[in-house]
Amino acid sequence: MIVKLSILLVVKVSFHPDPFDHLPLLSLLQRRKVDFASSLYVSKLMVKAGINQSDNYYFNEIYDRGSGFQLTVDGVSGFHSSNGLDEIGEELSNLTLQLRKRSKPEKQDNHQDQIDREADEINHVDKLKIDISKNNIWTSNYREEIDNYLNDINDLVSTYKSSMKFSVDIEVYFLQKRFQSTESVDIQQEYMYSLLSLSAESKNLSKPLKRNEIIGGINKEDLKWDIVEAKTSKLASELEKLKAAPKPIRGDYKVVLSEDAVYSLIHETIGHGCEADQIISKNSFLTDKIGFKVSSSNLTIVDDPHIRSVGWGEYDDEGIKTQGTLLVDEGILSSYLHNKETAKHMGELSTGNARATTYLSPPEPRQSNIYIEPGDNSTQELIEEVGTGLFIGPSLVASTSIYTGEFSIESQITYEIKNGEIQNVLGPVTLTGNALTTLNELSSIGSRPEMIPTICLKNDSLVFVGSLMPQLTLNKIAVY
Amino acid sequence: MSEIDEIIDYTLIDEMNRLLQKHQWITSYELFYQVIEKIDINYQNRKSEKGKFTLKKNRKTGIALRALSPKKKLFELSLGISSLHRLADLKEPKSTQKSEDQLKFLTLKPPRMSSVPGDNSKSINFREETAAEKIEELRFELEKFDVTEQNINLNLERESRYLTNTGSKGISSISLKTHVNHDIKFQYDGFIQGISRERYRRNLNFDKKQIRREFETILEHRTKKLVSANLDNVSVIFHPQIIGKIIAFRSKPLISHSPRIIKNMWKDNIYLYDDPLRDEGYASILFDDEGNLTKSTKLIEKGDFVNSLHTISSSPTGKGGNGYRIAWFQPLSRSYEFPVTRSISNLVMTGGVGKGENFIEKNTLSILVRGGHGYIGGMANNPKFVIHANETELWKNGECLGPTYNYTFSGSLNEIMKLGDLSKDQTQVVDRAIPGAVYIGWLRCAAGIVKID
Repeated sequence: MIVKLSILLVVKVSFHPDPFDHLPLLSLLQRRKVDFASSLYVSKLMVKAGINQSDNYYFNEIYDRGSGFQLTVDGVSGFHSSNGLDEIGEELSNLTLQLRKRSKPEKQDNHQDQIDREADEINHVDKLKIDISKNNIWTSNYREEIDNYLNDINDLVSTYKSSMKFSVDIEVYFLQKRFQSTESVDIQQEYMYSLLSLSAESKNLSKPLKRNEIIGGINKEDLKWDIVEAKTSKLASELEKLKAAPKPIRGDYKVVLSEDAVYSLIHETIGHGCEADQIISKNSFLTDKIGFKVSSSNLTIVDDPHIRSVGWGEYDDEGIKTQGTLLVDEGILSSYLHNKETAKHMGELSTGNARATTYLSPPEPRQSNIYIEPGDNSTQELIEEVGTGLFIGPSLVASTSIYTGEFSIESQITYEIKNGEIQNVLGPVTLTGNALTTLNELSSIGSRPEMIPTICLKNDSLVFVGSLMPQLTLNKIAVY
Repeated sequence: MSEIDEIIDYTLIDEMNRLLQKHQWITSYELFYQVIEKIDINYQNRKSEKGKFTLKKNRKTGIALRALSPKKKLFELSLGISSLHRLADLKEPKSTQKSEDQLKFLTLKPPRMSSVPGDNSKSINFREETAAEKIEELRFELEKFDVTEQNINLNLERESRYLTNTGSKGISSISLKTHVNHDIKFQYDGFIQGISRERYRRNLNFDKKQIRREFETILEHRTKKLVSANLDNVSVIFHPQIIGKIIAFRSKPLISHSPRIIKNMWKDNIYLYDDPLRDEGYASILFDDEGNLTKSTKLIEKGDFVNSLHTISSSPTGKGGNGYRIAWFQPLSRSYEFPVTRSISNLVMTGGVGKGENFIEKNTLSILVRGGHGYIGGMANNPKFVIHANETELWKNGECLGPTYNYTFSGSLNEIMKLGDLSKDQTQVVDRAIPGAVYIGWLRCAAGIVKID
């Protein structure tokens, strides 16, 4: 009798060395009577690979790890970060002294007493570890896997290369973060995400046209081959149509916004406008507007870090358990996005939206994954509702003035809607307006949201934000 | 021992060189070592609240490696200082990877100057106390106005770099960049408004009196009643901060253009240079991130586009000179983490006539656009701009009538550069979203050239 034995071999794939443990250092700082101290350790392996328009292949790896420390001493805040461990203790001591000087200069004379005074040790901390990298798209053999994946895509796009220039870029992030603090918190999170960017440009130099698409996320399904094929085919066919496309006449139009254009509008205006650091410094057009009607009453907007997309996190970068936050509830502005500092300033609780890309900057209030509650309308119904107007395709770039709520969005492609049907392809257009006016022109919302990974830049810091948006219609918007 | 010798760890670099030489497959390599230190201090003062300081400091050290195999396949890697052990495990690039036939690491020559003129990196005491003292100096009161909040942010950045490759002795440089942002909120006519001004330097020579005078003038204009005008008859004057940013955003497709000459792109009195050695130029640098000693390049001559900028790989002659490791998402940041790409340094526009302020003084009726945000896009050969203004003033016969509405200004960049009038004076324009600095005058456009909505 042959007995087959199955042995399950569990192989832990680890892209990171063991993270630094800063609790001893934080404990020392606590003994020096800092009000609060925390550290955020980030280990990041980034792979950037691709094939550019000239068919040149590139493959870069960037690896860095370091820690950022936030200190509060006598009510004055400070931050120090470094990717080297040498002299970190000395730097933090120096920072502590500098912060004491800024608060109460007379304390300089007796800071030595403060060091010598007894203080509580940090309580024993159980480390909490959350690792969702088990559903990784890539294994420890990622170099070869990424290389093969790129070559497959290159084969796919080669059929279009006679009439257009294609570039394919993939970015993969393997991230490990560890947050520790003098409040006896020790949380480690590990995850990864991938972004694939497909870009096509026409070969006609006198009228160069571009289309690009980004796909990806944190799950294997986000980079499924059928999604890549569908996006590539759509991109190429739209670029072909753009070659002969006239530009629409500028003016006010009724429009259907694509999922990507909706994201640009909502993220840039309501999203950034609700970040509480902008509210506190009165830089946002949404300052003092909680309870006010900011859009038509069928619009509900939520920020949710639990969605498994690029904005995911069980805990934020200040160790706060994350939650979904209702930003706009049936047209009424309901909440801002907080970190601990902004929440304290406004007498509220943190919403768990403190995010830092790397150890180099302190976490700030940022969006995570943002979505609109879908409506009941199919794309066809939205187009029929518009009757005569435009269908605005994916956006190329968007910008906003948070102070006034003015925004502009450039689309990559536009379609003419006539008699309730898509008729002709039109060239890129720019939409402009004021957020409060525009969102009150919202008429209907689509039923099928699309998940798109996006990039958000604020000050020096870049984070990834997940977007789950349906299409929607606006009764009026200015088009250039 | 010089300042840079204290920062750069030559022992570590020697170790890395020894490690790299052990890899049989590497025929040549380039090692870019960089230390970036920043001190950021913020002072915030709200009415009826105590002033509040925040202090941030960071230090980032790392390397960027480019290595070529015998078949000219390129391997690239960037590492932070606590991850240098990864240099022991470098895999030869695959044979299917395209060859970099043009890339050849230069024989490095030391720069002719020891530092950029006007850069104080060698004399400054790079410590928090220096920043704290300076920010105290830069505080001022504006008694005539109802100021509700004042924020001053001072940022110091010191960059030390060392570049070496097989066959060359290394070259090094140290540089200082400083940035101060004054942000003031004031109340007028029941509304709170905000004005901010930024200044970028290679030293700490910020003139507090000049900054204060500028704010007083702006607030005098802003504390008048809002005015409107017949938009059909008004000329538009773009302050350098607006036109400079439009030109800088446009620079990437411009410098990447194929080297054929484009005639009559702009007005025939306009010249545009990329000048990496400009005295006190914010983006001035002695050698680019590939080790090329930098020099000025004429991009536009008498309105004709005549030259592009290049890295070693993109250059038809293999010479380069404009290769920088810039962050795509924030081009003003340069770091070992990013690959080399071609970019501007200091863009200098010349050929203008007269002083910019004369435009507003001598025009019958004009809108001066001082600030706004916007976008430049459209076709590569005919770029369009859209600017949502957030700081505009109406001027008539040399007198400021008051602030106007936040109009949207749009049009064709090539058209305004052909038909508009450029002033001779040059104002520095720097922004996180542009990769270098622009030195440019004011631009006046007669009624009808720019669309106003």
